[in-house]
Amino acid sequence: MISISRMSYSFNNHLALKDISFSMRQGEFVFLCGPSGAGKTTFMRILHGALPVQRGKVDVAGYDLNTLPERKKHLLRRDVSVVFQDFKILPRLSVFANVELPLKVRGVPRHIITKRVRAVLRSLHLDKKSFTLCEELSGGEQQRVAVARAIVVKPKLLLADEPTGNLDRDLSLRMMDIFQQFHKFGTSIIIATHNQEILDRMPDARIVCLAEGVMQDVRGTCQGL
Amino acid sequence: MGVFFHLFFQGIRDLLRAPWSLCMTLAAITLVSFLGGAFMLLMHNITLQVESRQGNIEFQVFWSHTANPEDVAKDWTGLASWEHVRNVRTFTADQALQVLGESFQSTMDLEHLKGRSPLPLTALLECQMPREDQKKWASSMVKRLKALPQVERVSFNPLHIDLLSSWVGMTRMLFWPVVGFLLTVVALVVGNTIKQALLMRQDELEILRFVGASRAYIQFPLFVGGAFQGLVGSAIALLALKLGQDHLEHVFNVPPLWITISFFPSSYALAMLGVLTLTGVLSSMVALRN
Repeated sequence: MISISRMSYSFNNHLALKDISFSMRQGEFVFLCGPSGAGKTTFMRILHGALPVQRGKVDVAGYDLNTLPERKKHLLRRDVSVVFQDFKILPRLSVFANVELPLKVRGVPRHIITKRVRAVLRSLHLDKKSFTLCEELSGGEQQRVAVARAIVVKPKLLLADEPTGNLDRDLSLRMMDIFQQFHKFGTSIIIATHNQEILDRMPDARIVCLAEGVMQDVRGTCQGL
Repeated sequence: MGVFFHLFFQGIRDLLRAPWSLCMTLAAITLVSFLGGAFMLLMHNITLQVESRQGNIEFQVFWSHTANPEDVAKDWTGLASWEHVRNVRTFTADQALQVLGESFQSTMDLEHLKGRSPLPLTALLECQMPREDQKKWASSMVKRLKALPQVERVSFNPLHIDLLSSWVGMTRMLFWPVVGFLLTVVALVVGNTIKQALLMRQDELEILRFVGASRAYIQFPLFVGGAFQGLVGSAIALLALKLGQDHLEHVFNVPPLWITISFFPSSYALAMLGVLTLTGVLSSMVALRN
């Protein structure tokens, strides 16, 4: 699913990612942990094509990001969904309108959109807020809208950057259950998180740690979390 | 097809989100299109005049004050059958006075001279000159007219034809630079509006990109927006030009001009709509590229 070889990334003369090599199989569940500023978001953004590959070789979901032109990046993004740390939802649109967006841009027929969006909103307990404007939602609800939008398209790879950052303990655990259910259907998932309790609840998941731009496969508790 | 219409109406809905900005842009496009259209209208009418008068010559024949109107009227009926004569307009003393009064419009009242007009009996002969020996033909015509009984004076002036031809030459030379300038202004105005729309919707467009929207999906509504602005702006300008032309149609239809202002053909109007719509699309493309 992902193959990265000796990737480095720098901005403003600061080396954010140093010589990273990483690979991930189809259907794998990976936690990406590390302290703030370790480069987790940068790593996710490169995988999603939002940042260019500066050095090294990156292949995601069958797309060679070194050569993938800008005009074809939407194809990558149709296979790779992202839950952003800052949600990136449209505050003046309703919950339903935000969640249906990725299906609409794919030209999915209206009746299928309605069916799928309703099912996803129900699973995230947002069905009663379908027609509420997102700007009227709490931080936790907005985060769930962002997750709903990412999973409604059933992507091959799901990248989630601190998806439980704004949720209370119960909702965080419920959110992880949703990710786990989703994972059972074969979706590969990378979750960037600080939350040790979440890591403990999924002992079988692979854990990689980023610290000062260097990646380590730890397969256990991430040191210096 | 559903996506096409969705994006098409999305482009128009997006414009309506900032109605003030849309109104200002439409006003600017309309003004510039109106200027361009007015220039086209001027050229069209001058060309019409030149084409209708090219090769034509007008003789003015004045009879003496002592001439008997009934005898002269007999000569007038005979003039129309002369070779090369296309049209004969005749004026009795009172008719000439009336036309003169109309040409003064309301600045001078000649009503008090009615019935004792000092003007002579007059005929205007519009002739199609032969292709060869035109000077010789014109002087023979003058001689022939002067030979009519009681004719006092015959004059003709082909100079206005040369003037009109010069006008056409000059306007044709100016046409492309003027049109180019006006289209550049339209392109800048539309491009600026599209840029503004892009800035206003930056977050939304970023999200659309991240959820897998293709470049065409994002850009098509913006192209539609550019085209819509060009089309509506030029349509309003055309409407204003038509209203103006209707209002001014007969303003110059007085002696000695006899000019009717006509509207340009529908093909010109369609070309104007098409070019401005295309300019809107192209300037949107440039705005997006930058």
